[in-house]
Amino acid sequence: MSVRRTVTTLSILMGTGCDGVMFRTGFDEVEDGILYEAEELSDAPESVDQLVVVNYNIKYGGARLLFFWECNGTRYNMTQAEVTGHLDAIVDFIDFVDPDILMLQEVDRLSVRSAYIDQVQYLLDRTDLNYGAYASQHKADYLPSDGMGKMDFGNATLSRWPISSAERISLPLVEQYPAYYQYFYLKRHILDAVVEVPGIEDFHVVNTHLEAFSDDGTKEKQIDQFHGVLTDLTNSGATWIGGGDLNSLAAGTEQWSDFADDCPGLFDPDDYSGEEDWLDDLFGDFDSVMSLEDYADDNSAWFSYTGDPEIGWTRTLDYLFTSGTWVDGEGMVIQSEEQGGYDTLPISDHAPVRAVMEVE
Amino acid sequence: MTSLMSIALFATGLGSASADESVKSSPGITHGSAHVLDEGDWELGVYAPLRRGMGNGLELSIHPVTALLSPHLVAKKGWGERGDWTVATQHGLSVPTAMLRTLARPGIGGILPADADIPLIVALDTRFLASRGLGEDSWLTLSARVTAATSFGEESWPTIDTAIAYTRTSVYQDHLATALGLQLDGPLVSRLAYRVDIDGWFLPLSEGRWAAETRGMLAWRHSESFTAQVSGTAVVGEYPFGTDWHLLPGFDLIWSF
Repeated sequence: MSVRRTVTTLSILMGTGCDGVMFRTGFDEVEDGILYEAEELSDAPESVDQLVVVNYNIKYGGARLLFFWECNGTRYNMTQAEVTGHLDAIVDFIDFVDPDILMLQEVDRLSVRSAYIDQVQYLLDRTDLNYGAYASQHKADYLPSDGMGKMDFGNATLSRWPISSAERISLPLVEQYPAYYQYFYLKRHILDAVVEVPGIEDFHVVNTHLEAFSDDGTKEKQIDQFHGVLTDLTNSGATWIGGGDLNSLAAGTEQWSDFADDCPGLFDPDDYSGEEDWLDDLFGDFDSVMSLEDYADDNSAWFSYTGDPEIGWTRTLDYLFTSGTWVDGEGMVIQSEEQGGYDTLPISDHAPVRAVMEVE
Repeated sequence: MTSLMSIALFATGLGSASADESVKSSPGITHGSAHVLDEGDWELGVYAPLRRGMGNGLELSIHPVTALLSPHLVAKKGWGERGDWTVATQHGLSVPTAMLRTLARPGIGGILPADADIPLIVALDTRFLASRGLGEDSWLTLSARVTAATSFGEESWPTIDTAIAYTRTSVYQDHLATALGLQLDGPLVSRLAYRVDIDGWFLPLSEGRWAAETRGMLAWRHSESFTAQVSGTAVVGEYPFGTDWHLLPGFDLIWSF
């Protein structure tokens, strides 16, 4: 660390409170997730043959507003009406898919940018999902940057059935950032929730959102740790579903950079070159909803992200794996009326991944 | 970093628990008391404002750094003895518009979002202060404070929802803030002195309606012209998102001349 950087960091800490108390941005290596319950519980089946599972990065209820961190974005904080309007659109989608398990990324819990609406509770109270587990990936009492202020957003797992426990497992931090930036920056994690699904002895839902911006190999380390957690669960005899927004492309991808929806802005345009084999172990060792053969046949059917709805979906970042068995032909990315039966382009910058798991 | 420091300076400029008013021989010894500087005396701190005794029980203060972006002037007037009590009132006028607009910017240091629409704001802060001795070199001060603000023009900006800042800036949008305070000052050992300062805030028109701030401070009176202070402040309060608490360390260096 340079002298200037050291002085800057020390000055910040001295001037604002060298604390962890004032901004409270840190996490333990492993800590409990936050458990939720719907205000009114819906009836949940006492036995099931199949589980409908959806993974969805909901962009903190921002829908297609263009925020300052996006290409040509100018927006900062949303109004309460904007947030509830966007969340209601997600509720409508959830009602359409009617999942048993819903894995969410980019969920705001107490953030000024989303009018302090607890989005986990909001969704639980308006859908047939009854229980939730949440873990933060970006938490600060006050973020002194871009007017972000109070921030708490992360991953959430929602379920019809009770969640008996949840663990937040910390992932490696981006080492290339200076200390002060790392202190305030996102802290990725794996949320491991134990869901009491009838007929399954020890069922885990493992939800993650991996690093999007780093050149120092952090994302690869996070992928390896995610693989390690899933491997440990397999070895322990647990049944699990694992997935999330891996911010990575799979083998068989035809385009690794120069995406049409990217533009130079706050962040460099996405370039996944050099990462071609990073997901291979996940696909090699576990059962993916999206087979690499299907993906190679038609990348676009599995695209789950675009920064520009005018251009349409441009790449696949969201994945689901299991130690169990997916029902053939039920797995898909719900992109539009034609592809999945629901137009999700206006709801978020990601498209939801749907799958059905056999309960044996 | 500049803006992070600005928050602290901003708070002090608004008359937070960091300004110092000295009555005896060491700078910073009787912060927040009813005593005023003697005529011709000056004090200046890293965070504490520049103050000067003007004579006739009048003291003027201004924070030289924040005054550039948040023009303000504070006048404290001593009204003499009332029985065992020394009584003073303090009156501050500030126009924080340029400061807030500076803090509304993209990137690191953007305390407020860059699209914040901040109007012309004028704030008036009035305090009543009463101090009495509690034995040798020890003082008790009671205070009551009312801050009123008005704005001119369209506005759209979030409140600064964190400790210290919320109680002192929500008034710019919500027009009224009040506080009652109690402060104890006294010597400990050798050149070491203490201060305990407890303030209860009531913000009748804000979403977060109340806050309690307790500050404990140790001051090393190095000489008659220099004091070093370290402090810890515990804040519990209500914000638009709910109730929260914070612990804030602090320090100051104060010179008199």
